Amino acid sequence: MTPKGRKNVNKQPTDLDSLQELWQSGRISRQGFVRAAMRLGLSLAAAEALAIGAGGGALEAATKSGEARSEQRFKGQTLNLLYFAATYAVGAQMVIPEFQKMTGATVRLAQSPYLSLFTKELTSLVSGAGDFDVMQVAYQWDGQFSPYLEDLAPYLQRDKSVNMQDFIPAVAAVTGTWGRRRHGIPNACDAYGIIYRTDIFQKHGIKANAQWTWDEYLRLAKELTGGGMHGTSICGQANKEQADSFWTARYWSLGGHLLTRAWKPLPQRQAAVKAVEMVKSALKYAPRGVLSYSISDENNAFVTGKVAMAELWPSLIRGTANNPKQSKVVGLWNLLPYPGHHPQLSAWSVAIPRSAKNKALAWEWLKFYTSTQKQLLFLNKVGVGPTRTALYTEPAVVKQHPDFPTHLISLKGTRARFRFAASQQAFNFLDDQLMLAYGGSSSPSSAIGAVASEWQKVVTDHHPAGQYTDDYA
Amino acid sequence: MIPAEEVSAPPGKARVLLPRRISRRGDLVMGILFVLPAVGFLCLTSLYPLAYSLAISLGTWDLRYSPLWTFSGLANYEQLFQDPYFLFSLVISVVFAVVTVAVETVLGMAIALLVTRQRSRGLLIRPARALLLIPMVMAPILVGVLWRMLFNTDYGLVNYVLSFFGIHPINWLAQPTSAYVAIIITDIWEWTPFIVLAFTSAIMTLPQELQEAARVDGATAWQIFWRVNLPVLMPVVIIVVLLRFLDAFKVVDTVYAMTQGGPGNATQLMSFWIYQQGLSYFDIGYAAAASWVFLVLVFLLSFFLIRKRLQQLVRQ
Repeated sequence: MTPKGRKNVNKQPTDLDSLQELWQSGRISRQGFVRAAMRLGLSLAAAEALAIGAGGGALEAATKSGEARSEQRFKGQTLNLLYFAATYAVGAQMVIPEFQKMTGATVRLAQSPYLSLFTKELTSLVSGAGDFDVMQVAYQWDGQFSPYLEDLAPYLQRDKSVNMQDFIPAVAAVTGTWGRRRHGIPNACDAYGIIYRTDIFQKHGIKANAQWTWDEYLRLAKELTGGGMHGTSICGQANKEQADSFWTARYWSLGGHLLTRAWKPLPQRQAAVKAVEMVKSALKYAPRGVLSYSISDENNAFVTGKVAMAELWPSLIRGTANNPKQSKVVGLWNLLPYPGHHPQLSAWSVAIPRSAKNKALAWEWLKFYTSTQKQLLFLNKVGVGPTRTALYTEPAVVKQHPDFPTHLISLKGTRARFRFAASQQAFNFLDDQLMLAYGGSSSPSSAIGAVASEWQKVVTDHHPAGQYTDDYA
Repeated sequence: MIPAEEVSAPPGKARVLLPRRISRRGDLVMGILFVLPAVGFLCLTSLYPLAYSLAISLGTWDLRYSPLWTFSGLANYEQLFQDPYFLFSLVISVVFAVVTVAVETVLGMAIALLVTRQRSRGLLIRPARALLLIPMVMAPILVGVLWRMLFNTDYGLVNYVLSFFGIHPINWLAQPTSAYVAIIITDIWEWTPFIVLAFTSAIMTLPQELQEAARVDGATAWQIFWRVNLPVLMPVVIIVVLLRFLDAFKVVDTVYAMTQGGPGNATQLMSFWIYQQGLSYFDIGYAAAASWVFLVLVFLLSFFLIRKRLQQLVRQ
């Protein structure tokens, strides 16, 4: 029987997007939603999970877990969110009206660019100002932020609608955690990869092979350079915090580690130097101004057809590359994993500051925002990489996102940068030295030497107790 | 009506009549009462934060590791003067301030003289003033973003213009020297108008008689400027240079938007370096110590310039 006020629609949705819209607007019953989702290729379990939000769609989940609550339980309360001003905030903005309607609360969303988000969040946390009820936290800040964030263990124990086993294990292990404590629910993850032009590969008779090597990558970059086309691209000074990602992908694939288990920096020094040289070799086939590029400049170079391959975050290009208004390469691109399959992880969690004023409401938001249903919506609308494993294996999702199987290879092999309190300072120094080396202002060996000596100072005095494990996983 | 009392006056001068009830002690009390609110406000807004930051600088307060402040004496200051990155930022900040203020002053004076020339006054001054206001009213962060685009290697206007002179595209913001030059150029573009406006106003008030007398005596245009106009303009020049020096040491926004202090630490001016220590790494004690060194440096510079001005006044 169809619930009151809902009816089965005659017109069948042809993709998960429109199906979700029907479900969210209440124009389709839950049973109808599950049936239609299965017709689109989802398994019964996934369709059910989507329907109840696997912890999201807070109201449904709460009802299911026996916590009967009225729709306006949080009426009069205000939820203050602080997000990274990127696709994550766009996604949050999209679902705020639904959450407000569901809870009766008012939601205010503050956004900040990456470079100032860290400062803004830590200042608020340390001062205990309580300006924000929910913060989006990058995994590399976990060590620093953890003492000021709410321990989520009691919440997870009380509310069984969030099951951490549903998240990608490699991501969940280092995202929203510090030590054995969980303070955040992973909401987005990504791993650097190499986006390439399928049409250009085809034209040159190149068959994409996920098991390629760095030498093959360079050979292809060289082959594809010419006639106004550049073989590859990275981003440079305008987003200098990315400089280490290009280097770590190579260093890790050469068997390097950032620290020994006993906290000594850059134990494989020769591999570290070689990795810098490998980045420099790729730059020969990149656009002339690449060392001053921002991520947007690099994305732009790819979507306007100036480069054949680009080392990019897939989640930051998906939306643009598939948008005919912004892209000349719609349907003409795909993803290859980095040779060696050890890209650097990017992952975000949503967390509740200890000083938050509305913690119960904040928890509702965490469940809602990280639910399977919402992650699928954010993936389809703005290209955010989901953190729930089920979404990478569903045929219907893969049909819409052909880069997902490759992306899963990257995510499985991804490595984390170290996450203790001085990581920001250590990586800023690394990025500065790498940019000098990439630009030829210092030699790879002197850059790596300077990093090792600075890290020695930063790490020796300040490393946490126990062994270092972050990039050994 | 308040009864008056006679006050003795120097010979030849009229005697001054003062209200009887206002004694010297009363004067003092009234004076203090009038000044007290301003002094209180100053203490609250300036002296207290300064004293607080001085106290912080004498201890270890690194929020990454502990929210507690612990006394460490002059350890932060000792560490600062051994820190090669701090010393480097100190040197490049001084060079930045000297170069930008020198170029801005010379360029500003030249433009001011041009727009106030007798023949072109009416024609040039108004549109020049309107145009010159544009860089000044822009937020510094926007100036940084604008110039980052202008310096773009592939599609930036700067390289496009240089290409007409056969100069190959320069990777402005990716090389240490060119990035440093780029932030200097940006500062000159942003702040020369301020100097032009200040000098233009000063030149407009110059007494014409002096210049005419010099001209009658056969002085050339250069001699009139150097020997007649410049000495009269000197008080304004000193004040403008002082203000610009203070500002040039405080540049953060444009560096933040254009280079993030890089490549390497090539454009990490002292204010930006302090910002990074305090608000990126949260080493508050260390950042406070650096701020005090910075404050003393700027104070000494201001003191030197103000003393120059006072000496000039005494001579006059």
